[in-house]
Amino acid sequence: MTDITDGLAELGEHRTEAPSEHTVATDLARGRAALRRRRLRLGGALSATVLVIGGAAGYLSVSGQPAARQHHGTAASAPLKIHHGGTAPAPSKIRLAAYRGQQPNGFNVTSVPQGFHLQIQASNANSFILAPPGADKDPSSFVGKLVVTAEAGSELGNWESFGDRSVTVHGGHARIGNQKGSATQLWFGVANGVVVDVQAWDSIGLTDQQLINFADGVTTTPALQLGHG
Amino acid sequence: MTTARDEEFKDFVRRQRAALLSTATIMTGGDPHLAEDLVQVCLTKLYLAWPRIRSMKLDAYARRVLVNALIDEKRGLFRKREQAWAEVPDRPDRPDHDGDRYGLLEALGQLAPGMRAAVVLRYVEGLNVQETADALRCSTGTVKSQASRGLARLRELVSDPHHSWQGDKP
Repeated sequence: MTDITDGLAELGEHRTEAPSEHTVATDLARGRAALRRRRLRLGGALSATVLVIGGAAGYLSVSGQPAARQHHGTAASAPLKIHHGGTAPAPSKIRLAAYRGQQPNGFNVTSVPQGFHLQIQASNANSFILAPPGADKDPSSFVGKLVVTAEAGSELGNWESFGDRSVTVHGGHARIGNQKGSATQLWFGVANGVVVDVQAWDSIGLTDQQLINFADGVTTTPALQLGHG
Repeated sequence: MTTARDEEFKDFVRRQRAALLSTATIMTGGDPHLAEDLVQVCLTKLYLAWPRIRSMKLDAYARRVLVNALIDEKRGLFRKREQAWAEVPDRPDRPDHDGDRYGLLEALGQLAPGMRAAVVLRYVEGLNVQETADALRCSTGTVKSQASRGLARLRELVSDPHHSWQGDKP
């Protein structure tokens, strides 16, 4: 036997074959089945706190404008904006507006993309979803939505290496990154080792700076309950 | 309907499944069936967490999930060890042409799961101390001590010509 470290390194050289498409499809089917089971379990808990704003004019108003006028220039009508890299991002067609609606449990939010409302609040008060009018109400679908989740930093691991670059949120270190042109994610630390993860679907049309400005307006409250797993 | 999550997940599986299975096989001491189970558990957890983790360093996150799956599995096996068996369970065949590799895999299987994971990530996967600590969610000092003790134990096991590989798995 060669030296033990050489032997261990050689173990790593024995790679198995790439998976067949059947195996890939089976892995996907297994994941989707697990997701369906999770939705069934969570559905009851979440539905109790789903806030359907839709046509409820004035219920959760943004910038004090009547709801009917908020449809102009919202993410739903904004042009699709996807970062593909290599070209300068187009100027944002959506702006942040002061938020005067119901605050999500465990958080305080000062501004949201214009027209967005609190769509879903997780019952364990560690996550919420902001969405434009007419967005689907699937709690597991984040397309076109803004998702905010707080987690223990110890659960996330070395979050300060996540994403592509460092930015500043609340005067502290934060990380931001875009994945394959689908969504931009931003992580920033708050008190007691808690990390807040903000994910904005690119079709919303927010620039990175707007996402940072949004995050600057997000704080946690003592009602926050961290999720695990 | 195929979603963006599905397409990204399938890309990840195509790129990383073989590496995950290889790592899992080594971490299980050469048990291909348990390794496949661990990889399936790992991939399912990744799919569930995909919207949250898509922008992370997925390879590192996957390794962490795999280690957790291994440790969870070993906890289960610890309970199962108390069961009585009417017949000796099947064991993988030991290929004669690859004795050193097989012996080393079996020796790895003798280590406690956390120590084994530290040794595999450091010396098989080639991660540095910080990367291993991130994967195991422990301090760099713990990684150093676990990996060092793990190597020492492996040297004892592979150099002992009288050691029974069928013996005292934890």
